[in-house]
Amino acid sequence: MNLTIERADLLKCLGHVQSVVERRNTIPILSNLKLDAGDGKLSLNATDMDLDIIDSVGAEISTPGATTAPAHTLYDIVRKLPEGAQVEMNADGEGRLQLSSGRSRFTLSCLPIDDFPVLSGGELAHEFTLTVAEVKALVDKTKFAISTEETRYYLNGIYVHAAERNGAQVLRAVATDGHRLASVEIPLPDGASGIPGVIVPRKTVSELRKLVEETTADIAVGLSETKIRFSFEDTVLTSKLIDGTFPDYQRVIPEGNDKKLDVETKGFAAAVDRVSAISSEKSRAVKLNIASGILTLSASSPEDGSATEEIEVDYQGDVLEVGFNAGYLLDIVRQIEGSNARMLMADAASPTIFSEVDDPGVLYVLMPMRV
Amino acid sequence: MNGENIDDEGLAPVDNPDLSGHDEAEATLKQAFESDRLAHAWLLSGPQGIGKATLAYRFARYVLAQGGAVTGEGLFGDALDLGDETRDSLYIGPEHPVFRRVASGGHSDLKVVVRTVNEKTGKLRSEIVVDDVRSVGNFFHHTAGEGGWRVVVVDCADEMNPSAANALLKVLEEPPPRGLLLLVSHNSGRLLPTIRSRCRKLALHPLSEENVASLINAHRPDLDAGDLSVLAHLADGSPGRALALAEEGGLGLYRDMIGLLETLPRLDVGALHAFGGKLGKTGAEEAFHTASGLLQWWLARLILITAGAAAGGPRQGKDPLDVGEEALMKRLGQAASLDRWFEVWEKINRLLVKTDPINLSRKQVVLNVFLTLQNAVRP
Repeated sequence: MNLTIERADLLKCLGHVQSVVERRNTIPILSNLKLDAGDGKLSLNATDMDLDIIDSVGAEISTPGATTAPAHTLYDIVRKLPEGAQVEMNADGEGRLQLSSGRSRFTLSCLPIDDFPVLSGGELAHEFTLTVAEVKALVDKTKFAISTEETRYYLNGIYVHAAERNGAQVLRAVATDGHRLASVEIPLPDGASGIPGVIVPRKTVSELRKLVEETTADIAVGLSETKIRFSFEDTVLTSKLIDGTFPDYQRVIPEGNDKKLDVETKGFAAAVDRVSAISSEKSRAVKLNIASGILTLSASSPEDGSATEEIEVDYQGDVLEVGFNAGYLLDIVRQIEGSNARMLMADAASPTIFSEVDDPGVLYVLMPMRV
Repeated sequence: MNGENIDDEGLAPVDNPDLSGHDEAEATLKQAFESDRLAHAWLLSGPQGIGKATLAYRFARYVLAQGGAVTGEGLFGDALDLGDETRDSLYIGPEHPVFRRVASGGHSDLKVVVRTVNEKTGKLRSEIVVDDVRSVGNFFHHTAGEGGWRVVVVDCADEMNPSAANALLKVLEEPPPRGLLLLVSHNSGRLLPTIRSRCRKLALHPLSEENVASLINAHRPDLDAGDLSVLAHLADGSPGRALALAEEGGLGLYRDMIGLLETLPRLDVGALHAFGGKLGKTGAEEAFHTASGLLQWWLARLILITAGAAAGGPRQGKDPLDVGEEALMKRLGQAASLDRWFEVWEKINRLLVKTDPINLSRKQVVLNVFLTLQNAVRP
């Protein structure tokens, strides 16, 4: 393998993949990247055995070939090279990679490519395309609700599946940690009908989010029972899935909540934020006292004192008093994009639904606290 | 065989393509796999060094190589050589991609649980801790990266501390479909009964002396025939132990030890001090372990043979090495009563086991052991 590449191109490419490689690795091959040169392109492949990223960049290839080299060392070297430098890489096929730029020379030890994990290969049964905005919506509005509790591992990801609402086919993403639930849907893309319901692991979700930030083009998604793949222009992210059954979340979305409250989103979020400053660390509870046209937020803690704030709301009905965890409530209110948020309640002990007045495809469920 | 001892020679179980003397066990595993009713957990038990881990990895490779093709994801569906069918074994050649990835630790559907390095001290832990086992849970909670089976090898299960064992129990209780756990155990009696009861047991037997000798010969062609037969004899049917002995200068230690025992009941004090000094030096930890292992084994055999002779039944021990050793055993065996020998054996065992944990002086321990022996056989 012999090639020449711009330092900036190589650095960008390395930046995409090296974060996947774990710093402390007892297995040597897992701290390596696979470099594959051919067809005017250099592609770098990194994996932690749960997910796998391949990033390609244009390069001047004089001899095609492949090898593996230590990811973090390579990244460190390229980062420290001066801007605008040309990097020449040369693998001798005998376990060494020569890297030279200007008057610097490096020799890295390599491992055979056959030792490198294979995660990205294979055909996936279902393929469809999502826009950047769709991926952002599906991920951003649900990510916060992913559980970190390892005993309920099947909640450690976002459940993506095809569903139906009011007769329309949708692609829905759901995440929950048992206290709150977030559900977001978009119209079902072509090719996504009949997809299996899959749970995309948290780490994959955050890598995906990072990659989405840098692109504007559509993203091709490939899906099977055991794998998911996101293909960008130059980058392919392949991941294992969580092997479990996502609970029947429909059951916890209440249907008979008849007390409807509409509130201006930004003002509500700011008020919750202010009042929660006083709520004690442990419980972090805020109390919502809801009367016709007026919502009173209050919090009190034996050490710090108390706080109340009133805001105007659109509500007609009986007086209701309900408590929420301030952190959870804020998480949800901050996700709501439209100018108005809607709450649907039954009583002080039942789950409350939050939604966007303008977008019926977004829905959150929050369990109240006893206050 | 433990993964850590011999790897330069291509002999660590994870990259050893050959297995010998366990055809029956191999056939059992193969049959179970082909019957589509494979038990999800297997306990491979037997003495250390006879090839349990080698068999475990061999089976793991076989399952991983098959599994990929079964789902039709086509990673290895092409005409790759899955081993010579006529061998009716689990053989996967070292050129096979699965073999390479398993050996390098880069197979995403294989999880190996061994003792890990403690990051605070930089030393290898003396037991498998709970975090090592918890990673198995995480592994099984993800789908297979290559689309087939997911295999966990625990080498060895005896090294798990109680919380690790309990954590493994959790995994054993609810294994995922197409998940396979292979537990290697040198001493399966000491495992939690709840773990044992959840595994299908497969006992491996020590190899014959000829088999061991030919295996050692293959890996250490530098040894002469005399050394070979002594090693094969000392190894008690375990090629791993024979090679470990060969690596650690076990032969020399054994000769020194027998030389000392010959002088009983009048111990050669000078030689004893030299022997103790040699084992007491810094850096001689391994030699001390080897020597104490040999002595424990020798005494156990002495007791067995003496007991066999006393009962008038068939002799329990193997054919001794040479006439001198046999005579020595006979002589020592008659010098004290059987229950006295038991006492001595127990006392010596206790002392040897305690040496490391409580940092006894190794030389002092050696002196003590031989003086105990001297007291036992003094007329």
